[in-house]
Amino acid sequence: MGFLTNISINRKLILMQLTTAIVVIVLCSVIFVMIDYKAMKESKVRSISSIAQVLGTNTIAPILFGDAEAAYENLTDLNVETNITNASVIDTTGKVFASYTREGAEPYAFQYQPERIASYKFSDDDLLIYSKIKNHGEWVGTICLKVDLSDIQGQLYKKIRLALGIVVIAALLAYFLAYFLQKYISKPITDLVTVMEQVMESGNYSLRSKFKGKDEVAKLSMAFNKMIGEIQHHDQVLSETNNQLERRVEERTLELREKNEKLVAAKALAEQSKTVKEQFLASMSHEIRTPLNAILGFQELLKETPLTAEQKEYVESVDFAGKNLLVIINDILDLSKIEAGKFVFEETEFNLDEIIKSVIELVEYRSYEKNLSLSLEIDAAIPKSLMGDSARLSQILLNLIGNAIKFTEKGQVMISADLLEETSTDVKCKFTVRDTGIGIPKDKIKMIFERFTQASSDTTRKYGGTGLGLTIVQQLVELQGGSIDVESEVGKGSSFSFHLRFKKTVGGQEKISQSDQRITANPNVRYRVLLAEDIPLNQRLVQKIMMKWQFSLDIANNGAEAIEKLKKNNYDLILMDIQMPEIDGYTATKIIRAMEDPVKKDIPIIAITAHASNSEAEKCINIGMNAYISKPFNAGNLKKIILQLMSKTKPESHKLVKESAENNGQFSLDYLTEHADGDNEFIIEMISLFLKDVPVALSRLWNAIEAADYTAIKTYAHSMKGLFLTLGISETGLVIKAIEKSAERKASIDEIILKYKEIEAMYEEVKDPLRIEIEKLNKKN
Amino acid sequence: MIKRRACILLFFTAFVVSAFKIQTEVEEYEAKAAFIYNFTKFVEWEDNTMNGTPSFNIGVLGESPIIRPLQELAFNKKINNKKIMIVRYKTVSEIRGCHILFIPENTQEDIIKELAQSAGLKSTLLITEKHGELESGSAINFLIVNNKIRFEINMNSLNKNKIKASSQLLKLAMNIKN
Repeated sequence: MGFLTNISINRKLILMQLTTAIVVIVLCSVIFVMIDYKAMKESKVRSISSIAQVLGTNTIAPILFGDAEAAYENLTDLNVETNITNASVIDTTGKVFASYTREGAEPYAFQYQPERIASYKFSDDDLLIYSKIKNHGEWVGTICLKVDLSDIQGQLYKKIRLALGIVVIAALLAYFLAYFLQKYISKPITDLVTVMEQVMESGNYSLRSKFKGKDEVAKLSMAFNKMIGEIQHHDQVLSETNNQLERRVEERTLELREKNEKLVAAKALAEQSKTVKEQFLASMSHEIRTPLNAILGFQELLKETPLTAEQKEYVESVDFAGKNLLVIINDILDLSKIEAGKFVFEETEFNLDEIIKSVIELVEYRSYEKNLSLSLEIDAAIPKSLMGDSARLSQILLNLIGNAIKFTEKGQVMISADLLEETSTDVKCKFTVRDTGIGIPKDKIKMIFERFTQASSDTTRKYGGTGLGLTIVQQLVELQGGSIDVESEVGKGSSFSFHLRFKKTVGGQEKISQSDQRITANPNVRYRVLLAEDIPLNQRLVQKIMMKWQFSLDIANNGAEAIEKLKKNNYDLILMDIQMPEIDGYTATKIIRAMEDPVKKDIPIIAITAHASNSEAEKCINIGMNAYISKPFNAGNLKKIILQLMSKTKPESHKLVKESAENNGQFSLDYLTEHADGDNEFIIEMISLFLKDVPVALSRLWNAIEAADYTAIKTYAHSMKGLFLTLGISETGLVIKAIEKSAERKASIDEIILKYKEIEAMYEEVKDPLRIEIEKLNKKN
Repeated sequence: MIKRRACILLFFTAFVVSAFKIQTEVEEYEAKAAFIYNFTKFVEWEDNTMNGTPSFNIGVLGESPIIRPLQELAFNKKINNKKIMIVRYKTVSEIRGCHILFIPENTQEDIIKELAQSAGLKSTLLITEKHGELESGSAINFLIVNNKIRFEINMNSLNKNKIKASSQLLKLAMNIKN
């Protein structure tokens, strides 16, 4: 049936008519042939029956008189009837009375049962006829005839052939008729389809179908034409509507554009006012900081002069108030930035150990002043190199450690960093700052994070501060997706902890440790410094500091003068104020960087500015300055920056090096020097102690390792740690700490041995340089 | 019951003579009686007086073994819807109104001649059973050929007595004398 749906309509019509014609003709032929065949058979029965009757009558007497010969003679008369092959006369008892067989035919035994068998019977090719012989109503016998039907079968075949011929001729006739007649139906339809296809392909709705008459196809064509007309009409209407719509869209777009422009203008205005506000804040902080810088600087100098106890007390009050004011200004600036949503967190590579240590270095002096012990523990499992905003981390830690020191009168401040989670891409760390200070009452814990709020009103009076520090810390932590926690007990101390997530560095390559580089710069070098600064107050302040450090200082009153001085003389470093008359710091730096002298052109420049914003710092670095410090600066910070910068510059530029240490960078005597307070004997003693004790400690540790005594390993390793840390060999300090941890979790001895070898190697490496150091110190004495 | 049904069957079926050879005298006369009965079907009496009789009369002159089978026949059958009467005659003069007269073998030849001339035998079918009797004026004479009963016909005798025989009967006759 699928075939039927796929062929064209004219073929369908031809096929339909042809099928109908053939079916009808075949049916008729079959029926006629069958009727004819039946009639032939019936006429045969009739004719043979009459023969049998005649024959029977003639045979009555022979039967009655038992004359078989006479009967046979009668039967032989059947010679003329060529179809009759066998004949028999059967008497009333069923016995064969006489029998006849045509020449060349098979003999046949008739079996006649008068009550049961019909008077004639057709078998395959023959007809059997039984005829009762009656004489005056008396049954005398039966005559039986067998007739060969081949003649009427021959006629049947002839008629079938004829019928087939008629079927073929009729089919051909029907095909031709159908072929010509179907056009009346299919032609209009195919014409209509052609027009439809044209319309579909071209989309030309003006085409119309031509038709004649009033039949269904004509009606279809008419309907199609009408429909196409409707579509054409709708198409026109639609395109008109479209045009209207487009015009309206254009109008609206125009309106929108106008509104947009207005909006842009409004936005620009808003942004401008915001910038004005920021500029105001920045310049205000500058305006406040510049005099404050002078106040704090001279106050510091004043402290050094001989003063009466009363004067000293006043000076310290000024110092306290001034520093407090500075903190307030910085905090307000930070907070305003956070609230403006302008706080952008950088993502740079940094060394966590260094960041924490540098923070501690900044506050260490305060803990010394208060005689507090400051301890640091960093989980060795934290990757050394991480990605994140190190400056903000410093700020948070500085705030928390600063607070801890501030509110602790005696005891200690403990700082720890632990690894909480580690995935393939990042780490989650917990930082804790614990103190043994005054503590915070339970009901005040929530309050301390609110701005301008402190645990009690006494606090401000006694300890200073703005109440903004913790607010900023909390904001900074939460903005980076972390959280901050406080545990505290009044009188026993507080514990501030926060969680932060850092990305791991991609390559896993560690940045060259800054502290290592710092060590390469000798603090005892006398550097030549050029200060470009227009304000005499600040000039004097720097001068004092430089004198203290035994650096030589040259002063230029503006940028132009600075450039001139640099051309004439050799310097190791320039301290450049940004806001100066004639040529400002930026311009001066640009000119210097464009100089021809390869050494002078690369001279380290440190910017000194009253602008305390990140953008300012960025601008300085972009212009070509090497570092940046904001006013009022801490003398220690400045020295650290100078030492960092100098260690990076080439040694030949250090013309006034007093002595060069053959320190290859593994150790640092900073800690000792700081504690010795000029007592070289102490340093010598410490180094000697190291050289004497370490081999002993190593052999004890080795024995413990060999014995696989984890408790002993831990104890000996721990006792060794101090020796290395004193000499600033922090790397080994970490390795020792790792051994402690390994021993704690009973790791494999092989792992511990590997670490032990590291320590041993380090000792071998620093042994000789340390001896040289002792000799140098001895010479100095 | 069975006997009666057999009788009815016998009544409606033809008295067919066995085509097989006869062995005994009884068989011979049974066959001859049957022949006589069958002859009546192929013979017509043209004389109306013969057709007007209430019974069909078969006469036998003198003693003969045929009497018994003929009486059996008369008991069982009818001819032309008439009862069959078997009449036994001792002398020629007694003979009157017979449709068929059977003259046994032992009868004198002269008597047959006499009978042929007699006016009382007008319209009577004369049947004999001795070789040469046909010459003496008998109409049908039985013969035994190859132990089978056959007959011969004298057309003259038939015509004289106004009896018409069918062609079928004539066909079966061994001899036909004109």
